[in-house]
Amino acid sequence: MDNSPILFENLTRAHPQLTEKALVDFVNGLEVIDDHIRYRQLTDSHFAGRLLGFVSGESAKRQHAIDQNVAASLATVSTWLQCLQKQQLHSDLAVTKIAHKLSETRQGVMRLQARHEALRQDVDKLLLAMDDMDKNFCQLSLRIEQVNDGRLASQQMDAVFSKWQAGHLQHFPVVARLFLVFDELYWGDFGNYCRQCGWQHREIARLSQQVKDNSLVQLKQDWAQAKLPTAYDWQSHTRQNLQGLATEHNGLIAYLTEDAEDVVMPLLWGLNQLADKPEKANLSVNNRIPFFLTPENAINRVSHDFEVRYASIQ
Amino acid sequence: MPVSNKVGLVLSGGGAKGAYQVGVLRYMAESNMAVDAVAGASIGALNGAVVASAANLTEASAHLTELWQALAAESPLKVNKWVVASYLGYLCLLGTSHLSPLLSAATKVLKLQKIVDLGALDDSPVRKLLDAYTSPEKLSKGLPLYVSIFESEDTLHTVVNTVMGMLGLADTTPSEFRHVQMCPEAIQRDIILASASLPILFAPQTIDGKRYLDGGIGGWLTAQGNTPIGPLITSANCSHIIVTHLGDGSLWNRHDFPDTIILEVRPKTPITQESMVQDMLNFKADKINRWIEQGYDDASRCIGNVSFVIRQQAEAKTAQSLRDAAVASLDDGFHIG
Repeated sequence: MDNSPILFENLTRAHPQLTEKALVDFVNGLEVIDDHIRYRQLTDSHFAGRLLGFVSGESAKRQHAIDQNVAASLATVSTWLQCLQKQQLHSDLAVTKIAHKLSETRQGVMRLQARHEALRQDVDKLLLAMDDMDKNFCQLSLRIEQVNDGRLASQQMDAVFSKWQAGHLQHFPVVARLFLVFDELYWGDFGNYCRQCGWQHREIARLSQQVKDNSLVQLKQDWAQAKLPTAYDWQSHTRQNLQGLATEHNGLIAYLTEDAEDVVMPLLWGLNQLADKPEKANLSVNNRIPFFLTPENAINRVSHDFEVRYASIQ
Repeated sequence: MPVSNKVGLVLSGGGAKGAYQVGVLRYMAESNMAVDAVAGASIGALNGAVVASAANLTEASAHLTELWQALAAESPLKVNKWVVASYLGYLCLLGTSHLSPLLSAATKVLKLQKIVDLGALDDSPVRKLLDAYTSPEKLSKGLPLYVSIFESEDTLHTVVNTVMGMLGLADTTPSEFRHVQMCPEAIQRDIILASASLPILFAPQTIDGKRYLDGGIGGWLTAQGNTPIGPLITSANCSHIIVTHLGDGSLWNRHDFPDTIILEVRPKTPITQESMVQDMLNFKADKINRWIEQGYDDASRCIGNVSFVIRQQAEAKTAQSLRDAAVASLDDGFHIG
């Protein structure tokens, strides 16, 4: 199709142009012919008219006029046909060119389709990779959050034990001190961390052990001062201490240990009983509390009770 | 090939059949056509004078309709009784002049007076009508008007030559063409009337010392005078000319003007209603109205057909250009992949 413009020029040069005059002469010439034929029919219908037309030469002149218009019309028709044919050639060449272009475009589109398909697959892979990355990011975020929570939990733990070591819990019964420490940890960052990660989490286990260890260090000192070899001693010591406390402090301990059940959380249940009614003279000892109560088993007992609380929330 | 793109209008002569041209002009006005120059012969000159005096074809059409309704109501042809009596007397004397020297002398006197040049019809009603619609002032503001006039030293000789032309034995001498607005105002009306002065019926008009008769007489065999296209081509430089004929099967030949685009308005049905003479001189209302309608229909057909083809051709050329441009735009070197 590269030579088509040259061909167009050749066509334009080779064929005559249909002028406005030729068109007018053709269309209007038909009217002239029609007028002459009609008039000739009229005059030739009688002898005198035929004779006069012959003698005056009018018939011949009229025939000449008709012939001239017919010839001009035919010439115009011929030119017109050539022009139409030329235009048809133009149109055919144009259609051919468009068909070639269409074919080329079609092939291009097919190639694009193939590329698009490959690209789509690449995009799918990228999406999968992005998905993985997103998961990794979430995990990392979670991990960072956990680390942060662990740091906060550790900080809270340090703060709580510093408070205990500083003697700020000295006016509470010994086991109540232990309970209050555990309770404060439970409601603070430490507790949040435990609830988020679960009790079985390695870091929680480590921190939990650290709590127990710190509690043991402090509780041993407090225990030695209070002399609490048996559960009965612990109970009477605790009641005495509670009786010495302000009512609102007793209420506070009773409120905090309100949910403790005697079967699964015997030590806290006992503390609740004592705090709820510190003036009660006869108090039976829950047989689930070890008879010989030591700082270790007191810590284990409270720790266990709190594990139950954590487990019940989770 | 013509390049001026000016449109001319030729109004042929034909007496009362001139009403046909009213219909043609009405169609042209309704089609919002415009012309740049007018040429007329005989009744065509009178109609042309009204067209040239009007502001546009719409006004011209309205004036012509009004004028021709007036003609239909009252014929402009009034018999000049004294002249007719003289004719009759002369004819009687021709047969009796040998009887007496007195009669012979009377015949010679009448012949010397050239009674045929007095005109059997009075031209004052035509002058009056012409004055109602045209004036030198109006003409000076209007379209260029060309009229054909025929110089005639001897009316009888002219009549004989015309009959010879009708029989195809000899052609009449060519008519002259005058650009009316280029003539002195004092003679402009005379020139227009001269173009419509049928020999014997109307008195010749004397212009610049010469006697002129109906312009349709000149160049009889080729209708050179009756269809005055010449000045529109040579003087007005018109490229497109609309020619109205007032006869059936006019032998005027468009191919004599190969460089001009000519559109002829020819009748589809016989324009002749009675005899040739009656159609020229009888201004009956029903005939006039029929010719007006016929002129309108023929113009609508002849001009409409040509307009349609020209318009279609122009649209085809536009479509071809669009096609070629669209196809050429594909050669921009763009390729996918």
